[in-house]
Amino acid sequence: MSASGSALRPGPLDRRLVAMAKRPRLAYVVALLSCLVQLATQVGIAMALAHAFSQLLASGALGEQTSLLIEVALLFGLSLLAQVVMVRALGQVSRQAMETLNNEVLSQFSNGVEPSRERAGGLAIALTSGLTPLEGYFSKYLPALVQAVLTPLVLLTVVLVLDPLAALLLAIGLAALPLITARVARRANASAAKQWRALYALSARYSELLHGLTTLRLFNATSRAEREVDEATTSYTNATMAALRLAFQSSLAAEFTTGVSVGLTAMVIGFQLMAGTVSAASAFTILLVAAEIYAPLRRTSSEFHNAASGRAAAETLLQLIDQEREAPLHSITFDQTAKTVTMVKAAVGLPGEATTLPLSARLSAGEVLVIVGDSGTGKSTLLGALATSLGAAATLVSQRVDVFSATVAENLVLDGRAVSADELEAACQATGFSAVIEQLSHGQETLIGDGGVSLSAGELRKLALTRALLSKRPIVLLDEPTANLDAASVAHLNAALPVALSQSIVIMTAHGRDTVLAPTFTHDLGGVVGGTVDGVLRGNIGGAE
Amino acid sequence: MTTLANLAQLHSRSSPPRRVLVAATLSTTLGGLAQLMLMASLGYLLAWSAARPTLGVIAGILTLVELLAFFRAPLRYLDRLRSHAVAFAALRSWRLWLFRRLIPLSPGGLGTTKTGDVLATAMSDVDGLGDLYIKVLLPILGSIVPFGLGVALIGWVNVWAAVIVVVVCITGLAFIWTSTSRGAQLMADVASAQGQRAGVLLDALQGAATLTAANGWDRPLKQSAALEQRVKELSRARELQLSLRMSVVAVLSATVMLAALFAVGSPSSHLDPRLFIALLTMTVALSELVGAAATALGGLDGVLASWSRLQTLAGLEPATRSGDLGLQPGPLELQAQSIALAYRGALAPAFCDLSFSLKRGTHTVITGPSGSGKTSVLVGLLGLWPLTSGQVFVNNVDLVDLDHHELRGAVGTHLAQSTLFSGTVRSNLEMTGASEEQMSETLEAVGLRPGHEFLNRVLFEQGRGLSGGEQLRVSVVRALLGGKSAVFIDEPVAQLDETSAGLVMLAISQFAQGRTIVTVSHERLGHVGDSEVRLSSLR
Repeated sequence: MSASGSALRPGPLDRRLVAMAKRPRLAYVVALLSCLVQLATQVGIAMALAHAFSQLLASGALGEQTSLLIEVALLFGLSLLAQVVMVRALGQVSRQAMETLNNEVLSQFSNGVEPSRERAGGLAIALTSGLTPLEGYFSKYLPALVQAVLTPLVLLTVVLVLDPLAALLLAIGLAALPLITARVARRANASAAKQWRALYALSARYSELLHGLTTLRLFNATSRAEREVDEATTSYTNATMAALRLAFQSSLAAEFTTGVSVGLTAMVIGFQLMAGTVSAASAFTILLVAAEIYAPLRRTSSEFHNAASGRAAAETLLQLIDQEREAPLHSITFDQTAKTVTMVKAAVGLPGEATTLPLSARLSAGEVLVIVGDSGTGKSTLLGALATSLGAAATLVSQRVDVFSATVAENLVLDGRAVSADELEAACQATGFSAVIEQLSHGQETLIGDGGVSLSAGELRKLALTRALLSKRPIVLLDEPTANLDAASVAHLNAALPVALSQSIVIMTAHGRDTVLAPTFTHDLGGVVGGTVDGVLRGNIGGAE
Repeated sequence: MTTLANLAQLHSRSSPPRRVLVAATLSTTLGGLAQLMLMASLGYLLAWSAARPTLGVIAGILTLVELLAFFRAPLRYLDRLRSHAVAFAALRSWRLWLFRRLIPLSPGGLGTTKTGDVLATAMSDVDGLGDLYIKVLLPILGSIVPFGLGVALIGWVNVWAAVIVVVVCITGLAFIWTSTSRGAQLMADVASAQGQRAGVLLDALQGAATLTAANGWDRPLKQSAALEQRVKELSRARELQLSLRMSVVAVLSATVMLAALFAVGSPSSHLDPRLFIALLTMTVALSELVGAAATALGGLDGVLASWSRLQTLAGLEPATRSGDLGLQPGPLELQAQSIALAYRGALAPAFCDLSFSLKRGTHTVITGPSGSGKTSVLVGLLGLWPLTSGQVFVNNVDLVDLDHHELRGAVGTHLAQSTLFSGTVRSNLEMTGASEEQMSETLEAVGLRPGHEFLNRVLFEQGRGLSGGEQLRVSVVRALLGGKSAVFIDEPVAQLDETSAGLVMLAISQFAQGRTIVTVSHERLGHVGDSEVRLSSLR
């Protein structure tokens, strides 16, 4: 997770997040109306109760109470209805927003932005439960924010009409409240980001350990892993507690301010009652609405804190959305019409090392470039860079075969194209994968990968080769295609692959001179990293053959 | 009362420190009481000041109210902090417990459950359990005394009003209680759909490069979208349920308030009107309290949903059970008598009817074509998966009776599914307990650069950051280190150039001298090894 640059600007309202809800207008209008209805009922209930109180004080007993009961009950019911309507309308908004965020992130991947070094477990959690607190951002924080603006305005006006002095006192408290909570909110954002990072790290670690459980068992290293889980959990707990402490401090401060302000108002009203400048009914009304003036602002603050970790998760995802696709190497080009690949000193940096491997070549259909070199000389890195640059023109069979939790057929044709049975059969025959399929319980429909049947290393290699053949791409990049294969399988490939790939441009790596395809060109990376730096090939640029 | 039984089990397993729990309950109770008293005093003060406007009395009572307000805020602060501390202490033990339950499930014991789903359970479902204390137990426990006091005060004025309050509250809470099982089911369905989505996403993210290159994001994205749609539909149903519940809660609080009005208005009461008003204002707090308790009870379904997901996962049976006989020290000797092994759900066995013996100080090579079950032989010998027939004797003790933990402690292993972990090369080798000199020496022997620089190389998940050949060799080195009695190595040279392959084989025979060595390979390399066990393709 890159810490640089913040995708969300600080402030009470994140425009980018709000914009994620695509069709919110109707929902917002409904929510706003419900909010107003709630306000009106609040004032109504307060006035009705205050009237009853003052009557009680004056006469020592309540008069006709049926109408009062009915009135209060009706208002209460109305307020409840408004609340339910608002929750439902905003629930829709929050779901819409989360869906947009999810889709934008995921479409980044299909557009070729790789979650490079992003830890998969953390990201999977970010896209699922990590975002859940963000639901509260839309369904609770945003309405509270609106109420925090509307409610004090309306209620203060009511108080102003009844008693200007009390209104002034309440207004002062109201002005002080955001000053106090905003300071905490700024720190809370940093704290929530820290909390989210801890959860992200915990998820990533947990997921990695889950993948490596067998290794851990083999080395009796499970207690060490338990310790790691414990440590990651502890630091997540500490970060969460730190964030919560801030949130609680913020509400503590808000509660103090409210308490002092309401208390002072009560005192002033008491004196005015004594002096007879205010009626008992007005006094009660003011007291009953006074606390309500602050309630939405306090709720805003607490909901802000509740949603903060979801906001931090969203920030991680937004950074991913902002991330741009890695620029392809301009030194490697594929000419569609001439069907040739041209490389001009394609230089590739190895991870963690500054060494580059310059390589120039021009290849056309049917030609095979074999890159030889010892383990660790950067063959795979070079192929990986070629695959990135050539994009949809090339297909890569890498050393680590990624198999997905799906059927064999789905794993063979990852892009879901319609592939005829003959085509599939031919490709499987060529790689020898058909023999593997025959022995699976449900043939091509057998579930493999995570949660399914696991294949051996050699079987995976054959699957990857079949996948490459079926992709029908003009350039085929093979990283040690015969690793993990037995002699019979290699012999089979020796016979079948040259036929199957006769119309393709093949760039492959091999650590020995024995290759399944007869090389047109060979490029030796040597035994030392960057050893043959000046490896310019036959078939040079400019057609100098 | 399965719900109660579940809760009791949940609580006894999480066993938060009693002292902390009591302290949290106490501060919640005090917070509730303070709220009641605050409202009552406020009402009394107002009534008083209206009836007898004496400056001194007003000032005194106002000070009292202010004090209560000040008292209440820190109480709430402490109460919230305490309840979260209780929950997090419990969560920590839960996450560890789940991890411990998962360990024996590997490899293959998770059945069709995807890793991402397990991860989602370990993260969000475990987090959901914390609500047992934060949202359910402590709010309910803390509201008992204030509620009792409030009802008693109302009953003092009018017994029938108190009876109404109690009856209505019990009915309402009973309604919420009966709806928890449906709520729990709904939430468990939501969590399960989210878990499956995490499974799809994690699976796709781990092969992101392959998917991007093959234009293959469509399928996982569609699956994710379908699951998201399901989450949406379920959430809508859940929202409807919550709306209904919210209405019940609101009716509850309203009834409490109206009952109090009824009590005050009844002609039988001859109390001081100031006390009436004090009681009346107090009922505002009381109805809030009832509402909060009802909401707390509603939080139960989330906890129950998390618990059911956790139980499902923890209820999976590990494939193998270890015996408890110890292993004699010294070199290992193994005899396998017509052994066979089949994985759960597989039609054909991985291998069958295999007999061989591994003598101390010898190097045995297991060979066979791809898919003939070579790796599975090692899996079976190490007790990672049970044999379906036949017997293995390790130093003349049946493998079934042997403590597998001890057996694996005596064997250095590299399997095809062995992984390196993120960290450094050193952190990956440290689990063998070898010294830095030994690490360097062995790394050099297999043709890797020795010394600090390589040991400090930063690795990403699953060893990314090293080339395939380097990862393999580091894993082999990890198997060789630690002075084990035996060394089992699966395909040590499959991805290596000839020079490196030669070095690795030499290193194995050199470092494993006097120990029992098994290497697995699809072809016998020259004349490596003293004996060969050949598997034929079964599949």
